[in-house]
Amino acid sequence: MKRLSAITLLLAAANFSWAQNANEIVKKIRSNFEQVNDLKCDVQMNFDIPGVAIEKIAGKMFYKKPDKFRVQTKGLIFLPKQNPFQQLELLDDPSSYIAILAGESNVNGIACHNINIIPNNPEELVIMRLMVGKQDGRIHKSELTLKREGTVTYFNTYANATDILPREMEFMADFRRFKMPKAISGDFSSTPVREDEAQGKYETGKVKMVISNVELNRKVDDSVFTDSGS
Amino acid sequence: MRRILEAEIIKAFTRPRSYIGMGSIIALVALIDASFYFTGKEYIDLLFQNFDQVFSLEGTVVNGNLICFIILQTLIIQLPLLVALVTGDLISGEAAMGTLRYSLTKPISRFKFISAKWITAMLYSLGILLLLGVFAYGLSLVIFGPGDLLVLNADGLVVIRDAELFWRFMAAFVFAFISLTTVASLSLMLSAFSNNSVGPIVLTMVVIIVFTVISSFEMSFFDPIMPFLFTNHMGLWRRLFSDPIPTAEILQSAGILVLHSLVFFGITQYHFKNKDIIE
Amino acid sequence: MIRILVGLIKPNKGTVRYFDKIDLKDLNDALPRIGSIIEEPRFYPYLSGKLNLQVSARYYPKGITKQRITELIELVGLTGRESDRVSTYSQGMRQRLGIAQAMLNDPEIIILDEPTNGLDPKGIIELRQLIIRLKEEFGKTVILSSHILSEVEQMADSMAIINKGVCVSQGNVSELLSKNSVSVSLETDDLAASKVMIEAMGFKVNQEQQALQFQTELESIPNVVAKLTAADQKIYRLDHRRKLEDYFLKLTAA
Repeated sequence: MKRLSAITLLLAAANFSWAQNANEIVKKIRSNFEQVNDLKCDVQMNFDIPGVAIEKIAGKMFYKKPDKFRVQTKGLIFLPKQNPFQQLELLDDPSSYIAILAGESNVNGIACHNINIIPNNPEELVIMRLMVGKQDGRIHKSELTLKREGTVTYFNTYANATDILPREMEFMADFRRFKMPKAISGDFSSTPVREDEAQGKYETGKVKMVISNVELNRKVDDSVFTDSGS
Repeated sequence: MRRILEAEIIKAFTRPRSYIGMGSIIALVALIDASFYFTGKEYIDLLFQNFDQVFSLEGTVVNGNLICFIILQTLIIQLPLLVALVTGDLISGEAAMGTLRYSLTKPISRFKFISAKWITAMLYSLGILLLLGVFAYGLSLVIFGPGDLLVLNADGLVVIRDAELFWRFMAAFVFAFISLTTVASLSLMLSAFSNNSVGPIVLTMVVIIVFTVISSFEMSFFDPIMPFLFTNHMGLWRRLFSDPIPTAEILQSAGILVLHSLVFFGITQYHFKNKDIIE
Repeated sequence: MIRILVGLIKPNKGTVRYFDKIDLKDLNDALPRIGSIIEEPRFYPYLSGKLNLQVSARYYPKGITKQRITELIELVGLTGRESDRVSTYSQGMRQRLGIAQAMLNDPEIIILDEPTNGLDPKGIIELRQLIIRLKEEFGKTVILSSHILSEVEQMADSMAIINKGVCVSQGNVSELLSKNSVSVSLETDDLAASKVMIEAMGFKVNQEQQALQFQTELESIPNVVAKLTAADQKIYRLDHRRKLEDYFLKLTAA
C-alpha cells in the first residue's frame, strides 16, 4: 500500500512537473505572440492539392487580433479554413485548456517538445499538438484535430533565430479527391471516373505561404478584412 | 468560284431563318449573364459544396471569364443544332423550293456549286462563333470583369490565371469552329440526299443528341464505339482549360474532326455529281 | 427530255449536240449560250425580283452588268416591281421574271418547258407575245415544249411530236398542217341544200351558225367545189386548215 502510494505520488509529481513545464513553454509562446497586434506582409502562395491544378500567386496577407485574417490576391486561391494564426489564438486563454508535455520529436532537424493542448470545452477543436523547439521555444509544427475537418497540420519555418513569426507556413490536410459526374461537369472528354484508381482514397493537400516584408503593428484597418475593402 | 460563292452567301445570309440561330445565341447569352448577375454566387456555392472540406476558395469566382466558359459549355449541344438549322437546308431547301434546277442549268460545275455551299456553311459557322465571341466573351467581361477561371472537370478543378485566358479562349473558339464545320459538313451531306427541307436538319440533330447522350454515359458497354463518336472529339475544346494542356490529344481530335469534314464533303460531292435533278 | 438537254438528268443512251460541235459531256461550254425555264420558274421568295436576277447572274462566267438586268426587267414588263419580294408576285410575273432570268446572258437558244402552265388567259397572251418577240425581234432560237397544241400552232415555226419517247413526226408547222386531212369551213347562200349535197358525197357535215364544217382530204376539196357550183350554189367563203390536234391524235394513235 505504501509502495503503491509512493508510486502514485511520484507519478502525480511527475505529471505536475510535466504540466508545469508545458505551461511554461506555452506561456513563452503566448508572450511572444502578445507582441503582435496586427501585421501586414507580402505572401507567395503555392498549392499542391490533389485534383486541383492551380499556379502559385503573390499577394498581401493581413492579420489583426483577435481573429481577423485575410489574403488579398489578384486571382483565386485556396486557403485553409483555419487561419494560420489560430494555433496561437487558441493559446490566448490558459483557463480554456490543459497543456500537457507529451514527449519529444524532431521536426526538420530541430529538437522539439511535444505539447498536447486539450480544450476544456471541445466545440470544434478536439486536441492540438504543438512541436515546440527546445532551444527557441517557437512552434515548428502543429497538428489540430477538428471535429468536422479531421486533422490539419502546420509546418513553420523561421528565417532566423530571433523571428517571432515564421517565414514559411505550410498547411497540410487529408481529404477525398474532388470528383463530379460528367453530366454535371459537362466534361465529356475526360477519363471515365470509374477507371480512376484514386477514387475514394484520401490524399494530402498542401498550401504553402512564404512571407516577406512583414510590417507589424501598423494599425491595419478593419475594412481590409471585408469584401468591399479588397 | 468567287462569284458562285457570292451568290451562295447572298442566299444564305438574306434568308430570315439564318438569323434564328443568331437571335437565339444573343438571347441565351443575355439570360445566362442576367442569371449569374443576380444568383451566380449561390450557383457556385452549390457546385462546390462537396469540395467544402478543409479549404475555402477566396477571390472573385464569378467573373467574365467564368461566365464565358459556362456559356460555351452550356451551348455545346445548342450551337451545332443552330448551325444545322441553316446548313442542313442548303441543298435540300433549294430542291424543295425548286430553285436547284435553276442554279444547275447555269454554266457552273456541280463541284464548284457544292464547294461554294460548303464554304458558305463554314462561313455561317464562323459568323455564329464570332457573334458568340462578342457576346459571351466581350459582354461578359464588360459586365462581370476579368478574373481567374475556375474550371470544374469531371476529374478535378483547374484554376487558370487571367493572363493565360485570352489565348485559351481564342484556341477554344478555333476548335469550336472545326467542330461546327464537322456538323455543317454532316448536315450538308444529308441535305444532298434529301429533297425536303426538314429531314436533314432533324437527322443531324438526332445524330448529335444521340452521340452526346451516349458520351455522357460512363458505361463499359459503350467503350468500343466511343472513339468513333465525333461528338466525343468535339468536347476536347474543354481540354484547353486544363493544366497541363494535352496538346497532342487536342490536335489529334482536331485532325479527326477535319477528317470527318473532308469525308462528309467527299461523299456530298460524289453523290451530287451523279444525281439526277428531278425536283 | 428537256432536263436532259440542260444537264439536270443524265441520259441512258443517245446524244445531244449543240451548235454542231458541243456534246452533253461538255455541256458547260454550251450553257453560256443557252437560257432555260424548266417547268414552273422558281425563285427565292425572300429575295426581290432584281436580287434573284443578280444571284443568277453570278453563275455566269462573263459578268452581267446591272444595266443588263435593268434592261431585262423592262423587257419583261416588271419595272416598278423589281424591288418587291418574289413571294408577292403573281404567277404571270414569275413567268416573266423567268424569261428575264433565261435571257441574262443574252443566249442564242432559249429552252422553255411548258411556259404557259398555270397562267390566266391574259398572262398566256402576254407571254406568247413576248416569246414571239424574242424570236422575231431578238433573233433567238426558242425551243418550246408544250401540251397546249394551239399555242404551238401560234408560236412555233417547226415542231417535233414525241410519243412514248419516240419522235413520230417533225418538220415545218405550216407544212405539216397543210398535208392530208383538213377541216373545211364553208359558207354558201343555201346552207341546207349545200349540206345535203356534201353529205351525199359521203362526208359528215356540221352546221355551225353561218357555216358548214366538215373533214375531208385536201385533194377532195376541188371536187366538192365543183359539185356545189354545178348546183348553182354560191360559195361565199371556203377555208381549210390542218388541225394540229387532229394531226397529233392521228399520229399518236398509230
